[in-house]
Amino acid sequence: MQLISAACWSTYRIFVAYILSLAFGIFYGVSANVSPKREKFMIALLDVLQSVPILGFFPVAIAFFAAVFQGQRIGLELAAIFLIFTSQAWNIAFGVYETIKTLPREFGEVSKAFNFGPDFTVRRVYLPAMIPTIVFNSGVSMANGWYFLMASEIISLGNKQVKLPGLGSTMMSYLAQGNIWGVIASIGTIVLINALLQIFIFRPLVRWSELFQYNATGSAPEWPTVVDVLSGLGRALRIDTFLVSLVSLGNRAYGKVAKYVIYGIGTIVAAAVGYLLYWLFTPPYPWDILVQIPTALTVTAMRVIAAVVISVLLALPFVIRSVRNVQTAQNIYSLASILGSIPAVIFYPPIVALGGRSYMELLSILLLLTGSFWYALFNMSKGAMLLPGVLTEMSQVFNIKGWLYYKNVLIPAILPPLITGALTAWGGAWNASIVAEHVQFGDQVYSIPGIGSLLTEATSNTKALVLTVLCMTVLIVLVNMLFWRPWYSRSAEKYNITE
Amino acid sequence: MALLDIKNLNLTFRENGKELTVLENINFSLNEGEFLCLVGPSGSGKSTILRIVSGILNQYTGEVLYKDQPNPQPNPNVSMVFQSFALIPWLTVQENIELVLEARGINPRQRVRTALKYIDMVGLDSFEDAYPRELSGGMKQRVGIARALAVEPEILLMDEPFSALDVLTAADLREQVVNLWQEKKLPLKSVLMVTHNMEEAVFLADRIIVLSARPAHIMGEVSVDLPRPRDSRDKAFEDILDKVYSMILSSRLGK
Ligand SMILES: Nc1ncnc2c1ncn2[C@@H]1O[C@H](COP(=O)(O)OP(=O)(O)OP(=O)(O)O)[C@@H](O)[C@H]1O
Ligand SMILES: [Mg+2]
Repeated sequence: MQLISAACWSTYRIFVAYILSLAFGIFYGVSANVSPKREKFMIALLDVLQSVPILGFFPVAIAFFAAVFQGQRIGLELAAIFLIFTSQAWNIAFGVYETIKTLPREFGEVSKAFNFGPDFTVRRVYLPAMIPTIVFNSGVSMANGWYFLMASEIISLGNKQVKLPGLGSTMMSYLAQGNIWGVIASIGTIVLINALLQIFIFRPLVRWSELFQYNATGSAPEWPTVVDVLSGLGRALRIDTFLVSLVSLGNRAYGKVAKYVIYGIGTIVAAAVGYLLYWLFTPPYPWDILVQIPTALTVTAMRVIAAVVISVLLALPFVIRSVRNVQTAQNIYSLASILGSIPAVIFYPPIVALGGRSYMELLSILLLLTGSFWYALFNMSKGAMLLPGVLTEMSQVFNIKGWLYYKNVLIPAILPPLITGALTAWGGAWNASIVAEHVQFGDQVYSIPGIGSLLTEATSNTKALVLTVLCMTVLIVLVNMLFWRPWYSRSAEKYNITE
Repeated sequence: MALLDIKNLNLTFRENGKELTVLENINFSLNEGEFLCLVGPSGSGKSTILRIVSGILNQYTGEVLYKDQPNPQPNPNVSMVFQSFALIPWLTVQENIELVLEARGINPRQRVRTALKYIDMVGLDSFEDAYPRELSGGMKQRVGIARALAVEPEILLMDEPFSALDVLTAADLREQVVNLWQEKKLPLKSVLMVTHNMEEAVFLADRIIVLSARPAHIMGEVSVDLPRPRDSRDKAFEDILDKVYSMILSSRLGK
């Protein structure tokens, strides 16, 4: 009984956050395409937001919501939803942005040649064209929401802990009681909910979304019942009109409202950052922590790199099987959604306790993998599924097989999604590293050097904490800007497979 | 009277520092009631000219006048058959055609009637509910033709509209388009068509404009003063065809 009510609470939070993420993602992704100047700024900002280790910034966000609502329950609910939102929204925004950016030229030409108005173009061309990305990235977002369940339901306010009702907090109390069956039942409930979501909603949607792919060939997928139900619901709630106004808002070239909204948010952020910097650079400086940051970052970076490389390599065999194969891609999608939603962090302390300090180095990389592998798998299999048929047909005709095929056809063709997969895996691994290096089980503490354990060490000193998270974020963003983004643009240009 | 006047049209594409001049000083007009063909080497800029007239491209210099006024962008009296078909993949044949009618605010019943009429005309009846991905290249091309006709424009732009069709279907569709244009029941007044098929050009056009290789300028034009329906075995037909060929040959030689 307790599990059912807990499950309802968690599901409700994840869905509210997901719907907000969708609205945000569509708005942001479209807005970013309006002008090159705005694109540069908004994508850089999104890169930062995506790279900020969510777990590291949780305390700040919670303090904010708690202060605004003076510790009332609604404030905590909002904080929890906000935390889930931050694990879901950026990836949808990126997907929408990329789809619109690489929209086939024909769509725009038809819209212009046949005199479609702006709202009509949005409703009939832009929104449908986003469907494949939205469906696919929703898988990642959903899994992410569940993965961070515990972090969002157990909230530290100052030095007291508040628990919101939900599967995450229930599971933690079972664990504290040493009730293994309770933990297993909670995990089972999470898996069950996600399996049901897959069977009744997302699997049919993935198949159907292939209809909206520009270069698809072969017979068209059928309209599943769930689409009829959802679109009926959407029409009844006027969601289509809402989405169109949302997108037009983002789309309007120098739309005043959008401009003011963006500038308004920009000003608030700038003011907050300004204040933060002022506060950071007034003494006293926490030198004891600061001097440790460079080594800690290096050590953790090594583990993260290992996790990214392993993620990509592990994903490759699955990806090769889902080339032009909707069925396999759909299965991988479902499997990744279900397994990726298991909050693996819960198993980590007991396993570390079992293995002991000597295996912790290895185990921590394993935990990073649970935070990064799914990203690589989702993005790469999406790319493989959508590979144009002519490429594989051409390879068959000219008998291009084996190594030659992988090296000259397959890998180049899926390189852009592969890089996206690696980039997101990189962010995910950093995030997981925060909980991977310092573990408390019973009254035993296990710890290995790195940025995660440094963060734990710094919790008592807010300034040291913020500085550490900041250094970590700067490193992640720098690597994104100097390595991932340039690599992605080069390969997207060179191996662009839309004609 | 000229429906469309194109004056001193120049266009240079600029992409990451590289410049590509595509059109160089293009001047011609499309008269009312005229069937005009553009021919020229591949990559010379024919599709680009149609894109400019239909309002898709607007970074050119020079003037495009519609009835002596600057060509509105987009111009609701102009419609286009795309070389690459440009069908919306998630809409069926009928929905693709209804879409452009809906964009003009035509009511649902009228949309269905018009869409079915033109689907029928291009010989795709029984394929109304097929998606573009389920059609062959030639069938997609026919949907493109039906869509362009369905909005009943004054000026019809066609970019190699019969290139993917078998000889018989192509001949049939050519006749249908010529009939629509000659009958004058529809608003359709003039046609501007791009083709690589010289015989087709002589068969259809009142006038043929020959373009040079890129950057395109006008090499010359040939009037086709033959009564319709035309017969490609006529001596006069063959003479005109020879004239077009020799002009194209000289365009190849770069004279
Ligand atoms: N958007 C664009 N950006 C840059 N270059 C372009 C663009 N569109 C066309 N071009 C270039 O302009 C030239 C003319 O293209 P266009 O499509 O008009 O040729 P065309 O005469 O229709 O050729 P074909 O007979 O093969 O269809 C080509 O060299 C092409 O590469
Ligand atoms: Mg062309």
